Amino acid sequence: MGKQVPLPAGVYNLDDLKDFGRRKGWCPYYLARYSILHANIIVYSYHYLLDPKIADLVSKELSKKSVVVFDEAHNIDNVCIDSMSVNITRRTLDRSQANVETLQNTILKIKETDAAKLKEEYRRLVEGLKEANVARETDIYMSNPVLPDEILQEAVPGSIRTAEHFVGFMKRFLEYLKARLRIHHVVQESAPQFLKDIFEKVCIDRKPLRFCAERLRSLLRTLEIADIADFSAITLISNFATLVSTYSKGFTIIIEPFEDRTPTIANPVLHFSCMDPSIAIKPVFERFQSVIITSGTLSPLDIYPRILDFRPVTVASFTMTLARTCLCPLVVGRGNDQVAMTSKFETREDFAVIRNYGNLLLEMSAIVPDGIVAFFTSYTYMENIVASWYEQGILENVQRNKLIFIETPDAAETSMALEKYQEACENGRGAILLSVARGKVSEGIDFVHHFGRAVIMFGVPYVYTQSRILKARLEYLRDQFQIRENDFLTFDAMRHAAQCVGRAIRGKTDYGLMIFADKRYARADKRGKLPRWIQEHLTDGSLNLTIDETVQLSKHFLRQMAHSIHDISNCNVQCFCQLNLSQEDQLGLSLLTLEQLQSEDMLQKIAQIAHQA
Amino acid sequence: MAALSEEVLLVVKRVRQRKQDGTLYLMAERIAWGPEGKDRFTVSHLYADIRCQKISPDGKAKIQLQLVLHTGESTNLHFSNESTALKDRDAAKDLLQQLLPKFKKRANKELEEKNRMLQEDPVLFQLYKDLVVCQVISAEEFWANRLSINNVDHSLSNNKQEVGISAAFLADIRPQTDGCNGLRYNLTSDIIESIFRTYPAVKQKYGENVPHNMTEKEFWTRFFQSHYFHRDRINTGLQDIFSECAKQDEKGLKSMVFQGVKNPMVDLLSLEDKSLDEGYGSNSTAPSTSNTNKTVKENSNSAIIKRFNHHSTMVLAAGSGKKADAPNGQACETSSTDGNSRDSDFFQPPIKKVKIQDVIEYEDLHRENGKKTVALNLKKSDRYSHGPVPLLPQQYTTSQDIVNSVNCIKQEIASYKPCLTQVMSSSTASCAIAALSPGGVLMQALAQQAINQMVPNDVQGELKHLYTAAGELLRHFWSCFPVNTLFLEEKVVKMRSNLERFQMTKLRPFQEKVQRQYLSTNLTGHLEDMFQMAYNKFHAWQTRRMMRKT
Repeated sequence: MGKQVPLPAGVYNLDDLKDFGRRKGWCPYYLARYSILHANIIVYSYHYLLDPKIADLVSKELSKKSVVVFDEAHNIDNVCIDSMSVNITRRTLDRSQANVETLQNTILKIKETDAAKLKEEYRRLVEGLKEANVARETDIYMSNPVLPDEILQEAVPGSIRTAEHFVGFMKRFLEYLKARLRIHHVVQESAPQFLKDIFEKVCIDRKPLRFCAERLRSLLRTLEIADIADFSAITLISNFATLVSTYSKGFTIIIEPFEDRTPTIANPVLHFSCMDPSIAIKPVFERFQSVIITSGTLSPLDIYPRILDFRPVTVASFTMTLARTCLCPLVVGRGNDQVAMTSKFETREDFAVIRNYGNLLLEMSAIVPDGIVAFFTSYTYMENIVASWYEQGILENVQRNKLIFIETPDAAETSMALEKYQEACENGRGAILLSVARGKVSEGIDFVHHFGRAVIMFGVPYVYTQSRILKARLEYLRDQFQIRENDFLTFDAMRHAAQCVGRAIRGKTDYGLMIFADKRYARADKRGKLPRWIQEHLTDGSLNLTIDETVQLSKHFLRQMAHSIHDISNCNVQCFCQLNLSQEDQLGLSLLTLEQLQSEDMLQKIAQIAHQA
Repeated sequence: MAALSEEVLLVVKRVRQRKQDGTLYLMAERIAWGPEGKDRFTVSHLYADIRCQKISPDGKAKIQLQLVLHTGESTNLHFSNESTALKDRDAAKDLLQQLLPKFKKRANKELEEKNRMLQEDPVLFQLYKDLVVCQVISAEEFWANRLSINNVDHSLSNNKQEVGISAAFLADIRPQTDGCNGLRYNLTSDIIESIFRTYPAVKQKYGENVPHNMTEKEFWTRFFQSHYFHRDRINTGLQDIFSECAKQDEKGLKSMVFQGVKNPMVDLLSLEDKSLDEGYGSNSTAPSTSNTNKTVKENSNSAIIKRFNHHSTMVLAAGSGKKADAPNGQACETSSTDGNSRDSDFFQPPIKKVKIQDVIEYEDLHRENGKKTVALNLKKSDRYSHGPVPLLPQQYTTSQDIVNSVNCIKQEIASYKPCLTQVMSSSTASCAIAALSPGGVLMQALAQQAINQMVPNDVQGELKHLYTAAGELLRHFWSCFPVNTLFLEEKVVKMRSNLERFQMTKLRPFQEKVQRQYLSTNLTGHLEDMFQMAYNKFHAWQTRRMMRKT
């Protein structure tokens, strides 16, 4: 009890902690939370810092002097937005209703047995959230965007101070939401509009709404409810109430009575959607001295400070220092019949385009060893193309060269396909994985070495632009940050494309082809948005190629790479260990010794590279 | 009696062998004969050992059966039951006729294998010549532990390497129009084999229906007409015999998915970083998975995708052989994995750890620390070449003694005064110098390398053979220790006599030959030592045994 036992120094992941906890008989959850405060380096997912609900538990006590590094930060804006957005369906409301009833019963019970407890809570609420305020002012904790500054100075308003009143208040709020969901057309409104409407209809003021989240938490604590998970629905509603009443800007409310694809089935959803990623990341910038945002595919760089609303101290873009040119980006624009290849909406169903895409895959399957990964712009697009390739007999011919595995919407099925794909690459048969940009494979799976010798990107992976949430966000970006719609969409598409093709190169010993199969990649506005390490190798000679030219260039590249970089004279020995670049080959280029790293020359060189950006 | 456990195929009474009455038994693996009134076989031959059987001509009075063995020996069996002798003999003959070919193949194979080994390995061949042909040890003894070593790779090499399946085998069945409103499919036995291996369900159907219900041709016609063969297997009618196959495939795929993946790095389910609660996030509207709101086309498209995955998986599995029947054995397998799933928590981390370790470690960042070799540190090299020698009372000099004597010598040298009047003559001096220089009489121990110049090549070769043969025999001998079974006891005694025989028949003549030509060098000393060592050991063991017995 309360004993301080040092954790042996070392590197722990969750499994290790679990193991350690099991051996000692300690709860691994609290062990993890405890050790976070004592660790030198913590590696965790963004949500632990950006999502206020989690950050409040896990990360708020981190020291001000900590250095925060957001690695792989190319998607950071989406994470920020996700952590602040709320969706309310009918199911959520039903479950909240049940929660409220449970609360009511518990309050009644506790009133009979332990009324003092509720009184004590009431007294605390009168005093207000002094503690939190003191803590924030003395800068102990990181601030919480769901806990706005204003409410810290004030006491919880009288209308929701007693437990029964609060439950009544929540009931009313739920009824209002239910009524809002009973609509037959799409409604989009801003937060102030929503507040005005709620005041007019059910006389709920802005102020008590703002305290909702805090008040519910206090109540749950007082009632000593152990199983918080059961109350996730009502917590969601209270968080929504607080957010909607706190932020008048940066959020939008969209109520959709049904899904676009299925207009006959009523499935009303209230999207409370965050438009402004800077809201979630603001506390991080405010609290920590150094925040580093970095990724291999963070490009163009200048857009990130704008959408995250911060002033960068240093901006630098680095190329890859490679001991050899191990990547070969090619933009294929035309088929052998000179028909342009593109996934543009107007021509994507075009027979010739699909056939040319198929021929490209077929040709590549014949010359690339081991694994090929191909990405499509969306799942439905892939389904259609696969079907027509099947009808045209292209896939049959591809099968002569390699096995074919295809990503499906089902994660378990895809995992199996992935494993089999790797098995096929491993045993020398070679395989092709057809997959989807923005899918699970494109984000989470690495195709090292022979698992991905070529990546083919069929089309430009633009996001589905017809969604209302996206439209609202684009509008907001235009109005607030002066970012043009098209710029943002292209930026978003290119970062996903770069993400996909980057799957093949996972280290300096790796090598792979990157084939961009869309003529639009050759345009300056698209090309310019690729990360520098890809752009650098994208010469004018590798733009707008036909399939035949691509095959020739690829053959040449693959043959070169298959040799070791040592020399050709004793290549029959080297072929077997082609991937083992020795240290001497890399020293000074992609590998630095400590002395080299500390030497004046190298520091200067690094500074020079950084300033080029 | 061991024979009881064997299956006795035929018993013939009143068979004489070497003028003794007895009973002949034909068992599953061997033929045996035991004299009347004893429960022991005096003759017993494995069928594999029998080269052929011969029978006496019909007209002869003695009705006999002769078994000729591979070794050249033969056994005569005389059927002496007057009334039924001929019938008995013929029954035995017929049965043997059936049995022998089965074992012959095996025997031949074994012989071939032995032959092959001897041809491939000249050392072994020489050894064989030295030991077996000269009858130092018997052929069985010689092969006894060789074959067992080789049995493993023997069976492997014997196993024909399986050919994988082309992924596009279905594409190879190009249908051709035959001109009159029909299609002709070209099926080869390879393709059929591929279909069976990839789709075990079809094979099962084939087994069920051909040839009882339909002809082979009909079966394949139906197969190609079936939607099962065609891509969008949605509308498989109930009357179609292949509709079941489609279902079975589906089931197989499902159970494979259910089993999950072993490599945690590709397990998308565990990769999913779901830190957002339900209801949070911008696009958490779960995609409706129900098929009801999908169009037929979409359904068929996803069916194609599923089929491709399944097809590729099956082709892959068929290639790797052992997993080919995975979907068939699913039913029983799933139950076992079910039981394991609870323990999986315990087993998972190590795999995961290893995988992660693999991923995060860079080879080129390791310090190069060369190849680790174990240095052979010989304190006493003679021990290495002679084996352990019993400790003899030896005079040891302590380091103090050595230091003292060195000091002594130093002093003497320092105080050395040449006495020039008492020198020896120049001729004697040069003689002494010659004797002390390398190659001289007194320095012969240093001139070891000269041995390969002194001894002609054929003698060297002979010595080498002697060494390998002796080594083999000694290996047999030493492998008997510790002698803890009756069999080993017998063997060790036998091996000792073998050793003696070898020494007499091989080593002695060689020694004499060497002695006749090169009196000075003792080439076989080491060999003799080794033999002596073995004898000593044997002697020690024997005396100990005697003592224990008395």
